[in-house]
Amino acid sequence: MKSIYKNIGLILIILVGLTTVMSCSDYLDINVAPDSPSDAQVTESVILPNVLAELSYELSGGYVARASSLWTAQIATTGEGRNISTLFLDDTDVNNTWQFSLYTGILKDAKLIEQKAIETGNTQYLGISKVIQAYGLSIVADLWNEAPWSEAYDLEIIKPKFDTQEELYNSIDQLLEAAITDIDSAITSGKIVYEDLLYNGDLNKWKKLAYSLRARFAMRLIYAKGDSQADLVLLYASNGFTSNDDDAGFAFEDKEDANNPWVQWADKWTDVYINTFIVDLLGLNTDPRLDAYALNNRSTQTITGAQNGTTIQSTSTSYVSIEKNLGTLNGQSYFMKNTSNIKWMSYSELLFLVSEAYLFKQDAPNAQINLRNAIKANLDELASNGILALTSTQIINFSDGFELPASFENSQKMIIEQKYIANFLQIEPYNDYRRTGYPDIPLPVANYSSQIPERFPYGTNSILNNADNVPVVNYQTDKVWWDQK
Amino acid sequence: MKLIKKRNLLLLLFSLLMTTIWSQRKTVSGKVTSQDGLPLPGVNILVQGTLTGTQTGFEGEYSISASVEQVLVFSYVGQKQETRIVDTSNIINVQMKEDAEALEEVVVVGLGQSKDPSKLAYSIATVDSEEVLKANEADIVNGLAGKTTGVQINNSSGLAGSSSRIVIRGVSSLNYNNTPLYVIDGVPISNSENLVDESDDDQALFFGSTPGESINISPDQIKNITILKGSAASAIYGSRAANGVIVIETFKGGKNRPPQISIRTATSISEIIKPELQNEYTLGIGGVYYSGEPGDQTSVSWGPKASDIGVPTYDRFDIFKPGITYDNSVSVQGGSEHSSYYTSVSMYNQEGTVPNNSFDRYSFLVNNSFDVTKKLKISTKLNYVTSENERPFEGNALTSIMWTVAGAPISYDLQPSTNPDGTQRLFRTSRNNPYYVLDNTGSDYLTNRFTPSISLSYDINDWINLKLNSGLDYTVSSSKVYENSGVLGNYNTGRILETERKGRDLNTDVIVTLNKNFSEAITADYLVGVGLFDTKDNTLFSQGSGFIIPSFYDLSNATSVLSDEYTYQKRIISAYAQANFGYNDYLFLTLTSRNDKSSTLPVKDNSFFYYSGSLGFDLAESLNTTRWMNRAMIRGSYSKVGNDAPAYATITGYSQANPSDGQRGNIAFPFRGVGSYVQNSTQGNPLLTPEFTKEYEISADLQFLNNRIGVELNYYDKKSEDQIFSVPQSSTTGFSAIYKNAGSIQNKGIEVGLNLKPIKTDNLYWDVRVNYSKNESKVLELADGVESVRLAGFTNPGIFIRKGEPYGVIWTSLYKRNDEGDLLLDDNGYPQAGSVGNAGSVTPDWTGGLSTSFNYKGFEISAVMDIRVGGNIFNLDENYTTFYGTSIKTKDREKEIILKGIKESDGTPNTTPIKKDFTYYNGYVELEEFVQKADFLKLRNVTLSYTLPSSALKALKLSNAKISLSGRNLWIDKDDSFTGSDPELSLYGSGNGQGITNFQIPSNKSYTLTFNLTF
Repeated sequence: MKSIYKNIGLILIILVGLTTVMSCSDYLDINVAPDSPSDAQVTESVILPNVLAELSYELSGGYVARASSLWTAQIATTGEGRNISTLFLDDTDVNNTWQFSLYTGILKDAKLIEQKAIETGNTQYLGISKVIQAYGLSIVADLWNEAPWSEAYDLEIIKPKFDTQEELYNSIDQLLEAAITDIDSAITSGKIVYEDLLYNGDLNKWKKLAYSLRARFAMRLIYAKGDSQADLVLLYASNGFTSNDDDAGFAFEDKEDANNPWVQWADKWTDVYINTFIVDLLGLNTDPRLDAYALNNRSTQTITGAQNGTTIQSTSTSYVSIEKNLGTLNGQSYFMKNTSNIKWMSYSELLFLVSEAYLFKQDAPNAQINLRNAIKANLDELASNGILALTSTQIINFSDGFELPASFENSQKMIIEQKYIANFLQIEPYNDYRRTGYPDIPLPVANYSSQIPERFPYGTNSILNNADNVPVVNYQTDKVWWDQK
Repeated sequence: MKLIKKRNLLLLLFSLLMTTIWSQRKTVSGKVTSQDGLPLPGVNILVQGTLTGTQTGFEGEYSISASVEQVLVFSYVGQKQETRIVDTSNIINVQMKEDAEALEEVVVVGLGQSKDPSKLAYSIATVDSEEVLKANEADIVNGLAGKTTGVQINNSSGLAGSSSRIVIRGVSSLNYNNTPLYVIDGVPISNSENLVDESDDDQALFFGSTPGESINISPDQIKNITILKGSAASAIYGSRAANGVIVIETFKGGKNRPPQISIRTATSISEIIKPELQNEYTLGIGGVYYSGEPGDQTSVSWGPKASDIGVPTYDRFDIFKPGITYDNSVSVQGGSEHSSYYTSVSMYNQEGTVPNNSFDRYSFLVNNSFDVTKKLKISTKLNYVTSENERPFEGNALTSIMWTVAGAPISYDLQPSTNPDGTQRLFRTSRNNPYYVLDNTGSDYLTNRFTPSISLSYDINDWINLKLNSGLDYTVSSSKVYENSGVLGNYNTGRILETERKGRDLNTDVIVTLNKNFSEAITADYLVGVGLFDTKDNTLFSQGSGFIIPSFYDLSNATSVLSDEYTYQKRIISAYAQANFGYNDYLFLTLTSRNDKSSTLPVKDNSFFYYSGSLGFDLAESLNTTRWMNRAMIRGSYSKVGNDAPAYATITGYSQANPSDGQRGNIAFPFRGVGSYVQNSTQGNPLLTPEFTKEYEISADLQFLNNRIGVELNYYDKKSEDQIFSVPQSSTTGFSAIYKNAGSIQNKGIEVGLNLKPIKTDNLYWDVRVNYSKNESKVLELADGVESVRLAGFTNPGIFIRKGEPYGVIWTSLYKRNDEGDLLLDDNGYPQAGSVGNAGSVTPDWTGGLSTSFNYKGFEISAVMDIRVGGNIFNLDENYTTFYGTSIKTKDREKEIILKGIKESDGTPNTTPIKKDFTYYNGYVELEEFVQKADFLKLRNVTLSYTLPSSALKALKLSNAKISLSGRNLWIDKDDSFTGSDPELSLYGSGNGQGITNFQIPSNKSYTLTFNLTF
């Protein structure tokens, strides 16, 4: 009997021993992902490169830019079915842009930089993060009219309310105003920006970008707030870009997974053709930029456009992209080069804004000068990059050929058409089209909307998870607030 | 591969030679009979203290060499062991006596305990390993199909080496792993899929699924399979057993058994079951023929009839070929007085129905058990499995070969696949020629798995036993996926993805069992133990893109290389106890409790306790009706089982930046020489608590007329509450989801099993087994304000979990309907777009199986049928092929039909005819059109076999020889609405998102010839 107790004792010792050894709290304290840096390790400059790349890739060169370029008939993709090129959009199509690129992407990352910069007092990152928030938020406001902002990013609120577009634009303006103050303070105290892939740490350029954006947004609201906005455009522009050198252009790399978003789209998704509409528009003035925008087609070796909503014959139409079957990435078209810049905003655009502002102020001579300078700046940019073989005399001769007509409408039409050409493959042509009605864009041949859509529908994520607050909208016909012409 | 196959032959020869080793001395012969005087075949006879032994033949006869004074040991399952001393006589006849205790059937249940199934207080299911083997499937999961109640099995594709999904009693975890725990010889093994890229959460959609771990279990080394369906049975295994347990015992040999050498060789030929496509209309648009040559290309087959314009036609499925499989194994088992052993090598070599598809598996298994002293027993096991799977792409990728096969016009010869200049040749742009894809893409998955384990068992006295079980599952797996430059896809300049995973699972249990009956009438045994589970997994990913030299698939050949790693670690410490009581062999009670501490829960609150209780009452035994009613066990149980959180869900982490447009483009960091991190879009939660599943079960196990009629009835109702999942939320909060204890899901069901042996005579034997399972799942709660969660597919169409619905519904764009469900049509008779919504459940209403076998003398014919009723599948293929005009549905393109519905403008019934032509499929069709019924009735297996009579065996010096011919998937009856190959195919393999089929390789039917020889 004694030995039994001894044995039981032994068992108990083993059991208790094992349990205690294994129960050391350290033994189980391993639930920290080894592959994730800690919150403290992720400083402002660790987040910044991603925000810049994401804004450049997703919006300025991604889905939003594709929508703008297809809907404003700059480019065409093949097919008669329901898709973005035939003006069809549903909640799932736009969901990624809203959910991932904007709200858990650019805006969230910029917010995070802001929070961290407040703690560290790094006003340079504070300013930059606000410029980025303003830019991202303007895309939200322009495409969706109403969207969460004042209640967004509050962990206590899981169903943020939707602010009106007017409220969003007030927030945008406050952000840019504050950004300028922060950047000024950073410049004064000699703060250094690390890992700035846009301006390489040049805070003066960031400040000019903030002012130029304010000019863009002031013009955006001109039909909503009145002609006095023109004065604001001129005021902000006077502190904005002063040469092509100031352009907010984001460069890509000559390798896979790092190249220009347009190349990736053409490579991985679809053939991109030049649209008949822009070919004709360029043809009216024998515009030399046509050669920079498209390639000759294979059959006739001329530049031939295509229309959306048709089945495009690949051999007899001009690509914006390179032909994929050749299996090479050395694009010949400027916009389809791996390393091409994606413009957030250009000096040329600012001059178009100034020109239009003078037009509103009925100052025809200044409107004229700035229109010519805007076209010239755009051609200069292409020539200096070696895309167009033009001498400065040729450029001046070409841009001086533009004479504003007598009427306001015709003048505005010319300014916006030229801006539309200069802003090839950017987001602004779609905004300008909605604001001014120019250029006079044709519908795709097969289409699923009887007009160019006025806005984007709300994404699935909001419909499913914030149903109470999501406005009911018709994306084809419901105009946004600033669209009051 | 070819070399290794030759080696199989060598092994066979080697094993043949071994049979001639034993010999000499005097020959003793005789006859062994049973208690009733009937001849007993298969009795083991061993010369004590030697390895010499034999088995009796069909008539109970034997002969063995032995010398005088040696002892012959006769042993046979269910009989008392007999010994005889060899004397001068050359004849020794033996009559065996039944061993009442040993005759009882034994099953292995929780923690390796062997129990008499007639005395269990909870229900379990067993599957005969022979039945699994008969199915000739590489994966044991597929071999279980149709054979037992309460399980649902889905195969992912017809490719060799495809993964399968098994779910026991419905899905009980909303968002995480729902596959059961596999426990092999007492040691749990890990069951994770070999992923291409951990960061890609939707790999299946764009690559196809990858092999699951159950494919690395070699079916021919399995002795028996027990399925613990209810949590009353599985609770003792702890939280990892939340989805049920599949307990597998491999062969072990046996004490006092002469060496027995078994050789099994099977060869199968398989062919695809083609999906239906139209074979009349050519490439073209609007009835105009396009040749597909440059300048005359289109993607669609809306041209004229080939017969009308006299163009030649081609068979799209020419790309497929017959598949061939060789399944060979050799095993030796036996044992001496103090030891037993089993050694086996099994080789499975399969070539699929498409080029570049093969699956090869080699499994080496050694089981040894040795009684060191009377009290101390050591068992060791070493299993090494290596498998290699080469497979082309499937799913929704441009490199998926079925995409172009299914979309190809009949009027275009897909060969040659290249132009004279070496570029790809196809009838259209933007897609790949399938032949070109096969030549220029591929993937190779290699798995090396070591599962050594030891078990020490020490009898402290005659009623206390101390046991240590420790097992390791060490897996090194790698995958290499490549696309050549020139292939259209995500990487037109070439890409190679390499993954290397090292996984280590360590399981250790120290268990004390006590057997101390209170009296003759009241029996009792107890078990107390502690367990430790430690898993650590590290995966390295490298992606190289931009090839320097085409067709050279090596990381050094990439101009851009990105690398990443993923580490996963988790530990659980457990303490558990179980008590079993019996009263007069008719009342049984089992109580189990367990406490787990898991590293995945917040450290301060990481301990959780749960329990189960089961009561069984055998009416037959208590009333003593065992003459006509052998058993009438009625059981009831209640259990509560806890489960921990996924690892790393308690804090919000950061990941390397890689902004992507969610489709195909991305910017991978480091970019322009700069790195960047972003916060994860799922928010961690430091307040997570364990989740619990509560289950009631009532079951009956009835056996009548000397076990000639068996009936099994189960009813269960389980509710999983406080489920941890990443709850989606408005992304405007900054996070798309947050980990929360929120969901609740209920599964209740009925299982009926019927086991009949209508004929049982010496020469004739017929049995029929029928099973029926009905599981009703209902998502009771997701999270406050959350109506649905996406499981798989796209946002539209996708497979979603919806509150109030069964687990898994198809969520897609619907046609416009009125409240009565009638279609609202436009004035031209066309349907109109409605909202996005629920288009039906993917889970079947019920499933069933029928197996039967009929034996006459040495002949046996057996069959397995399998039925599934209810449930839908989203046929994404048809969404594309109706657009292309190749779907079988587009065959009737010229027929005028009047859609049943109401004209929305005036509310009158529609009378305007339309044609389901290009206009319809291109402009009016909604995705709802492609939701199809997944019902099927399958003749899964028919086997005809012949076992050689004993006279012939004797002449050949064999103890058994059998030849069988079987056919698999010979006949499938599916719903008319389903036009694909096989409604069972599911793109998501062993994942949760069942119910989508999209450009997988079609299912197969196959024919197998098998030889079994035992020496």
